[in-house]
Amino acid sequence: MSSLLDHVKVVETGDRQFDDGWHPVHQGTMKVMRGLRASLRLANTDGRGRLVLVMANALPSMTASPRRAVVFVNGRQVEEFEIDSETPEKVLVDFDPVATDEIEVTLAIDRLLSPDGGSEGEGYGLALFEARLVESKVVCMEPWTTTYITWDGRVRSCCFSQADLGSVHENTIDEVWDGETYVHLRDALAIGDVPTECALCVDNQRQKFELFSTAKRIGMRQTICDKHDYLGDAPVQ
Amino acid sequence: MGPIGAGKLLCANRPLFTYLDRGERDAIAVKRTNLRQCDEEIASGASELSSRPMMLQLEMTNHCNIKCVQCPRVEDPRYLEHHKGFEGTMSLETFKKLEPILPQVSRCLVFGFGEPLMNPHLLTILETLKDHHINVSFNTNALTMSDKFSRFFVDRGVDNITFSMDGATAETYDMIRVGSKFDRVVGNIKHLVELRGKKKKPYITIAVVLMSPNVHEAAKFVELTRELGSRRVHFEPLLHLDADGYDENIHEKYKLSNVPVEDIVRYFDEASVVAAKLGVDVVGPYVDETGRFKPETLAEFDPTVGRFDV
Repeated sequence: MSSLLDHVKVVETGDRQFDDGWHPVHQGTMKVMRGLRASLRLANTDGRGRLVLVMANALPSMTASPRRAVVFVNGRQVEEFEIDSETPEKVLVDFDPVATDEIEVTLAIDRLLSPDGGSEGEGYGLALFEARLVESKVVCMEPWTTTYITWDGRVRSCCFSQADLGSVHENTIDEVWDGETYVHLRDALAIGDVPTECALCVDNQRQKFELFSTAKRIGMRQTICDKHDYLGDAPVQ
Repeated sequence: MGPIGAGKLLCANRPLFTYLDRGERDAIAVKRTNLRQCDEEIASGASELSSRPMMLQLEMTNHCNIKCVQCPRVEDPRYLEHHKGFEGTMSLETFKKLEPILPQVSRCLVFGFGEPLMNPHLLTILETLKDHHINVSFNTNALTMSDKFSRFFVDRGVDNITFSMDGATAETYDMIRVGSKFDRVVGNIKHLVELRGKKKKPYITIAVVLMSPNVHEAAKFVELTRELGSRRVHFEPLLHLDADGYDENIHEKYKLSNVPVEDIVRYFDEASVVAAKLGVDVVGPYVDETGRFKPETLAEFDPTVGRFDV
């Protein structure tokens, strides 16, 4: 029996209930791509894990040309299937117990190449979904992941914030990233305290923010087409 | 493995991803380690980080060569009166200050509040970013995207380019994007697609600011998207973020609510049919129960918000 399942708390019960006898230890929903949501449920029945993919509001354009979906758990491929117009709304992927405290699920979706090997820049690339079942109170990840440089070298936390955190002409970029101003910003966001420069974003995007922060509390991250180059022939190790 | 509800199993041994050469693998290993560290530090809420930014956004310039009617710049005194030191273009000297972190950076957005092709150092900067195996994306109006630019983007495998097209016909486009020319822009993009040939990159996205003068062209935008070698069109409703929040009344003349919602739904129904036929992904706006438009990102997680895009 894997210890991970005892550590994970239910952070979101979600709006969909499945009556398949599984007792979710963790359940979260995240949009993976247009028309496709992945409900991540990790259940402890018999120590097995289960990922539920829900084709919510599957778009005609989503299924008009088939795509390939591959599911990795902790770097190991556990399932591969095709998404097309015949794929039902719910796809279940079960996997063996994982003997770690954390589990990482990666769902890769790519439009299948056309029979002639692909042409005209087929597809938009890859949707990548990673879920790490660890809790964090961080309410916005930008100051951990991103930095914005204005044309004249001022450093900001994101494209929204107007607050300068330093300048690459006065300090090195490492010094700014490790500097007091950046650290204070992260300290504030880590305890859910919203700084002035972020207030507008938070107020006006409250809906997004709340849902986003839910996703972030459980460490979920979704990217489309921006990390596929780093997968190589294997998922992130 | 365990049961799956559906889907045809494919050959499990078929390689999914492109194989990479050694140098690229080593470079990517550094980025992967950084991504992993970054994840851990977010999870722990650490404020002093060992990871470096995984994403970098560089404002190439905040100058622009056209004046779109809906753009906040056309009303902003800092642009209108050319406030001293407010507008400018990133120099190579500034860019070089960022080189120490490039090995860790995974992704770079090479645009800010201006037209990136106006930066004379753009190709040098892209060259350096691609040398570091960084995934590169930017938005452009394509007005000055010459053969030289396009060849570079294809040869160096620039990853994603988003073209802003606020009209699907010359008449609408030229009225909204003042100073740009539909025919020229379409010609430039088609030239890029021709050079791209059977290669995948750059992936192209067509971005549309949806407003009353162009919403009736929704289906045409989908057709144009396919014509321009792309399978993804992004409709963003005209909204401005100001001190009072999203306010679509700033541009009274262009606001979407000038058009009856039933009509908009009909336009999108038409677009949906064309999108399914052509295999184009449509990313669209939502309308909430009060009839207020919201960008897709605000509604995407909320099942109570109605969607009419597709």
